[in-house]
This record gives sequence, structure tokens and C-alpha cells, in this order.
Amino acid sequence: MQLTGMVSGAALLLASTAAANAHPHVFAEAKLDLTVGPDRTLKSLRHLWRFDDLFSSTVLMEFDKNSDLVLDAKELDEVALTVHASLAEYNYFQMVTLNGKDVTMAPPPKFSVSYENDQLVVQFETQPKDPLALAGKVSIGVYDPTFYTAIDFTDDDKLAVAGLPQGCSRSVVRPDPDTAIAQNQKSLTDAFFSDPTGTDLGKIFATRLELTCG
Amino acid sequence: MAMFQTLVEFQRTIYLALAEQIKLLAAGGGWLAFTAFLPMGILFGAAHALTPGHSKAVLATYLAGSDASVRRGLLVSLTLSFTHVTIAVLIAALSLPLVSIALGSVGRAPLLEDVSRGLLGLIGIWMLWRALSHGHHHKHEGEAVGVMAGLIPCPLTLFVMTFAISRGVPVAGILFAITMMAGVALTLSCVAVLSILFRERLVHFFDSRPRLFDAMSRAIEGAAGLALAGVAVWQITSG
Repeated sequence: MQLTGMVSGAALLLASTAAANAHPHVFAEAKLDLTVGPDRTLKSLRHLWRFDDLFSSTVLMEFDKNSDLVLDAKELDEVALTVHASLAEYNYFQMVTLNGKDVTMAPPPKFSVSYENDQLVVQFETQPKDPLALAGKVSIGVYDPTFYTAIDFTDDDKLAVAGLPQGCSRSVVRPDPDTAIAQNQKSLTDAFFSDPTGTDLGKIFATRLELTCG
Repeated sequence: MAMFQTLVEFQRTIYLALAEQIKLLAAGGGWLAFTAFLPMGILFGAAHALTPGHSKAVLATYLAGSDASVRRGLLVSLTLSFTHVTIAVLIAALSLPLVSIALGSVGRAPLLEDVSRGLLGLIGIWMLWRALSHGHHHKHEGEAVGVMAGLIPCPLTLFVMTFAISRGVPVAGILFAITMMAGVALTLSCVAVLSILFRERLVHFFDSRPRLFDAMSRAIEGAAGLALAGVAVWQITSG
């Protein structure tokens, strides 16, 4: 008995050294605006992320080349380029699915960055790579798969839809962690063994906007 | 995971409240209110250190494989916490460009991560060698491990420091860093004590079987060494 405990303890120890080490360093409040065209296709996703004061001050210090404690247009452009480049490999923190299948989003052409009330505000707009007709269920989540940035939609109105067609409904899903784990037990286990660093766990906990069209 | 989310929520609340407190102080709000807020730093640090990472696995692996006493284990976790927070204060104070602000790896310090894990890998190889050859422990090895594991700076301390500096109240940042360090040390000390108790239970179990015990303790030390060396290789090759 004690021996099994010991062996499993040692195994756990070894496993834990390889497990994820991600935890939030940065907090952001997000807003998402969807536009649906008259042809019932998803036109665009407009993202706005407002970062916490503390991280924002670090960005200010880092990019304020002329040390005047203000980010001027040129310095803001540098921030935009850095953020833009760093998000490419994470699909710009977006998770878009149509009836459960991943939808490829085109990379945004540019980022616009401003510094308002001591907070860094990042905005960008993306579109589906191929036209996406609303039929069945479209689900859109925004999350950082690495967990380093905690992105929060403070209320359901922060996920808005313009031009929602007749016969479609909009809902905001905030997964309850325990239920999400129970429902995803198998895929979570598979995910763990295929990638013990577990970078995609955030997916099932992310707040999502769901459009359901009959 | 539910706990993870609760911890994140808890940290967000204290962290953002701290930003408000620093703003108030900078606007002339007085030290009394700020000092009253400070104990939150201990809770914040303890909660933060509970989230994945923070060299807890390294600490546990090392202590389970070494022959450190509880007292020495606590010293190792204190050294780790002190280094983890202090290095972040230094980076902020000297504006060293060591921490990434690129999203996706924000707050990470790739160079220091490689250095830290590389050094720990050497300790791992040393433990492995010792397990195979009946070598002797070095007296201050534990503290060295604490420093090496702590070389990865605490990004939250860094952000708090730059914010406090930019507001002209660096002392507020340092005071918060100290309370946060106490909180981190609290959590890491629990990890240290648990790992050592785990090992001591094992030792107890093998008390009446000295030869088996000797083989077993060397196997554990070897496994811990291998784990540390493996993490180092993984860290450096995947970076």
C-alpha cells in the first residue's frame, strides 16, 4: 500500500515537472463587436482589449524612447507592430467554430494602439478567410491559450452583434469550470497526453458568443 | 481548474485594487491608507504562487531527492521566494530589457529561464552522479538551488514596480513586493514541508530494511536528478 503510494507520488512528481507552468501575468478587459452582412454572412470581428494599469505602465516605459512619459504616434506604432507580430502564432487569441468545426480567420491587416487614461488599448479587426454563412451554430471565443493574459468580458453586452438576421439568436456562454471539466473529461485526458503542456485547456473555459440560426 | 479560475479572479481583484491604491498615494492620499492595504500583498503572493509554475515542481523534486531537513527545506523556499521577487525589483529599477511584453509570452524572461533551468540541470546531473557513486552532499547546495530556481523574475512584481516608479512612489512598489514575497514564501514553504514529509515517510517505511532503503533513496535521488536535467534540456531546446 505504502509502496504504491510512493510509486504514484514519484510518478506525479515527474509528471508535474513537465506540466504547464502558465498563469496570468496580465489582465485585460475585452469587447467584441460582430458585424453580420445583409447576405447573412459573418463580415467582421472587431476586437478591443483594454489592459490593466500596471502592465500598461510597463509598456509605456519600454516603448517611450524619448522618455517624455507619453507614447507618441511613432512609439504607439512600434507597440502595435510588436503586439501584432506576437499574436500571429496564437490566431490572435480567437476561437471561431461553425457547428463545431474550426473556422480559419484571415490575419488582421493592422493593429491600432492607443493609450487612454493610463491604459493601453489595442484594437483590431478580423474576417473569416472564406465567406461564412450563418447556418447552425457559430461560436466565437476570445482567450489566450498560453494563460499569460487573462481576458475578461465584464458583462454580456461586451459581446455585441450588429445586423443579427431574422431567425438567429445570440447567447453568451460562460462555462462553469466544473461542468466544463465533466463534459470534456475525455478530450481533456486526450489533450493532456498528446500535449502535457496543456496549452489548449483555456478553450473550454473561455467566454463565448454563440449565434444559433434555424 | 475551478480553483484555478477562483485564484485568477482573486488575484485580479487585489492587483487592480493595488493599482488604485498606488494612484491614490501618488495623488497625495497618504501612507496610512496604503499601509492598511499592504497585508493584501501576502494573500496575493500566496494565491499567486498556488497557480501553476513558480518552480514548485523544481522545489519539490529537489527536496524529495535530497536529504534536506525541514529547516533547510524552509530555507530553500525562502531563498527561492526572495530571489524570485528581488530580481524583478532589480529589473524594474534598472529598466533591464529582460522581460517579454509580447502577448503570448508576456511577462516571461526567456534568457533568465534558460539560465535558471540550465543551472538546475547541472544540479540534476550532480544528484544523478551522486546517486550512482555514493558521493557527498554539499552543505549549501539547497540555498544554491533556491537562488537558481528563483532567477526567473516575478512578472507581477515587475509590473507593480514599474507602475509605482512611473507614479513617483517607488517605495510603495517595494513595500508591496516585500509583502508579496512573504505570501509566495508561505506557499512555497508548504510545498517544501510536504515534499520533505513525503520523503521522511518513505525513510520510515524502509527503516527496518536498511539495504533496500539505501538502494531506494539513491534511486529517488537519481530520479529527481534526472527530472531536473530533463527539464533543463526541454527548456533550452524548446526555447
